[in-house]
Amino acid sequence: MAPTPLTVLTPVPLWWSLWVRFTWLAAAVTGGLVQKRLRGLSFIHFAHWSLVARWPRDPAVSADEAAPRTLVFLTNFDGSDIQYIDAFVRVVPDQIEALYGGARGFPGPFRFRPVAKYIADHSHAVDHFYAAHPDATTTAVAQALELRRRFDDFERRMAGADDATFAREWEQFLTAAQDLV
Amino acid sequence: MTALEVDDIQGNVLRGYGFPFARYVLARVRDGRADAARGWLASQADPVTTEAGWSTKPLHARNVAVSYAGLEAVGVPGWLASTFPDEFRAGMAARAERLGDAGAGAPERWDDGLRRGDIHVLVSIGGATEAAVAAEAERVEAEMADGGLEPGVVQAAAQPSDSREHFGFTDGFGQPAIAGVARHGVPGQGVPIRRRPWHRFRADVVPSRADRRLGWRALRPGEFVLGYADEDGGPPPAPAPPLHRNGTFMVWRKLRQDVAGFRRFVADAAVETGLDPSLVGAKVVGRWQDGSPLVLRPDYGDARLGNDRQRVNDFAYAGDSAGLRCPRGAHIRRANPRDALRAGGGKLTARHRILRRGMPYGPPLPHGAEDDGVDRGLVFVSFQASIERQFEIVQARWLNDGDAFGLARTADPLAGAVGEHGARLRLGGRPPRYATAMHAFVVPRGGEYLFVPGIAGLRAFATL
Amino acid sequence: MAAATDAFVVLARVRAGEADAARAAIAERWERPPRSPFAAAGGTHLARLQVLKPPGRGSRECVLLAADVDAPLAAWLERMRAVAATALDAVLGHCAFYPGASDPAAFRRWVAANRLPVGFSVIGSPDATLADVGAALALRDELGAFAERTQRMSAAELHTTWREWRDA
Repeated sequence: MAPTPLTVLTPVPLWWSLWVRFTWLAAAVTGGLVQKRLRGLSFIHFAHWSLVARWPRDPAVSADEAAPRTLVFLTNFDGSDIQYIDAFVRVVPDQIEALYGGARGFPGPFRFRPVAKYIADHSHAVDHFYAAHPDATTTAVAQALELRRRFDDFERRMAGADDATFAREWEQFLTAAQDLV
Repeated sequence: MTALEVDDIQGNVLRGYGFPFARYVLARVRDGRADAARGWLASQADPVTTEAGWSTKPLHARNVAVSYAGLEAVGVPGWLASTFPDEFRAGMAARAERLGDAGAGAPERWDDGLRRGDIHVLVSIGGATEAAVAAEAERVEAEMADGGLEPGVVQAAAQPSDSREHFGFTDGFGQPAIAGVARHGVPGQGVPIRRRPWHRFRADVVPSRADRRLGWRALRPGEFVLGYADEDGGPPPAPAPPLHRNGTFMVWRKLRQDVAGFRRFVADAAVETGLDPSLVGAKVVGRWQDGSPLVLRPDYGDARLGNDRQRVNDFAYAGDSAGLRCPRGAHIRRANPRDALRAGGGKLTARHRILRRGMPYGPPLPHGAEDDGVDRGLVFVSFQASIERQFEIVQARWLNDGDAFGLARTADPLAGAVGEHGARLRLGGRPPRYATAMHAFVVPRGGEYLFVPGIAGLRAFATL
Repeated sequence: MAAATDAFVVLARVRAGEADAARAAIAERWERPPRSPFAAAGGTHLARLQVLKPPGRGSRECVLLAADVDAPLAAWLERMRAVAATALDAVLGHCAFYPGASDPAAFRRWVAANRLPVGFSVIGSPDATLADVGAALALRDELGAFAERTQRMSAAELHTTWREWRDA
């Protein structure tokens, strides 16, 4: 089955948008620890957050009717959103709280049903989406790239090796890399 | 915690009857007989067996379930029918893409009488003897005929005394432990608890000292029966009253097993890998044929462990994350990952458990025999509060797909949808060994999603 | 070291009354994968195009165009403009102040003016190009097949089979 796309727009107050920017900066500084955790949620193909501080100006709309600051969440994943929301609620609730805690109407990250309703209420149909590798989740891609790295190193080391050395080293390589193959 | 209303919950859900014989009587509502059929359903409130305890085990027991097509056919009002979940309303055949029911297992190729719209009502009969279930099935068919229903397929099933299914493995003893249900203190059946010193202050994580000692806690009953708190803390979504309480959802699925093909694959894989055939078979399943789990007995089976209900399920996979003892893609590890999911461990697994009450059908294939063309397999029956969350995610995301276990798209050849490229088994080890199954050994032949009303719910059909 | 991928999001307001036409243009001109215009540009890992209504009472619809692509973004945008100008114009032509895809500089300026910074992104391959990802996924499959095929071979047979595979 093709992956499922999701777009969620969440209004946030100014003070929360400043906090969110700070957390992103912190995540960048901590060298991708949070991304690694999220990448481990195996059914995700990608996930992407942006902050709209100011929507494109519309002169026909007055300032108090204009769209508020909004957290934009874009993602593709396998299957239904049940596993996604379950993962938010049961595996990474603290990270979700850090992103959405101050968002308008957010019910808190600890119960599935209120979060599922919040997402449903703030979702927007995706008219067209594309994935170069629709079968590949973040886990699968990360594993394949790591395997490639180790394989290239193995291949380089084995240039010119005799049969016995190659066989021994191949067995060691395969044993060490078996969780990637 | 709210006490379970056992007199209002149909039997064989929370606790298996343990009968060795079964008959499943499938029926459609006759045109123009909606009122009679609705009346018949209501009348079943008396003869069906409930979860209430027995002083003496009866000779047979009866339970009733109805599909969405059946609800419509008996004239359940639209305002009530629309409160049922989407996947139940669509029916199993419509979920084929999600379930991987393609090729030989596609709904268009299902057996007569088991296709889309064929099953309105399903009466499950369990009994102590073949004669008892046959007699009860005849009674049910006669009642149905009087009650506006046309009986269709009657599927027989039987559980051999050694509890083995057709591939030769003991089955059916790994079931979720449910809080409030007797014998829930069996280790390994619930949610694994990683014991921390502060858990003595966290009753929501570890309800009791006994659970802390056990290393497991029971699942909340709302995961399986409507109207009770589930693992999310509240009652699960349910249809509107009067069908909102003490019911559950049933998946009924006839699965044909290619026994000769499986044995041939195991033999071929043994040659290809240099491993003993019994070990290859165990690595496909995750248990030895005697039931002892590979993760506890990686090198040889242990029949005493296999027969010890207190110890046989008391294991987790945290110490075997690489799958050197039990392969990451082994059947039981996929069907119930315990703490083995790459992200979230046991916390996510707890939301995708199912109660299995199925039984083999068809005669066994003698050892060494070629395929005789006889229909044999498993009548798969599961109960869960949410078909989509529980059954479908296990089937679609864990059996048909290996990404949750770091295995990319690889399906479980035992019970998953094996695609045209086959399913490569990673038989972890030093060094690892591999074997590819080019087709599935289990193929769906038909089935349906059904609702099992509570007793009051059944009675309520009379006035809907 | 520069990252191998760039992520971007563009948000542009749709003219009053043209949201349905924009959606219809997507349905008509943007074929489903694998023939999506995003594929034609090359180097597109993931992308989406949609018309959405921002929160707020009086808000009017916007087009959202988002993608993770092989760096540098400017090169991808130019390729996209070159191969998918008609498809882009059919949708973005409903946006206020859109200059059309025929003028590369104007198109680039319009994208820059409507671009949102990406705050936080999780993909499997931030440091790999699309070609790298494809090659890695293919290698994984081939390596598994090779490991299975050679698992009982002698050292000499194994080494010979390896050379045949790698030299092919």
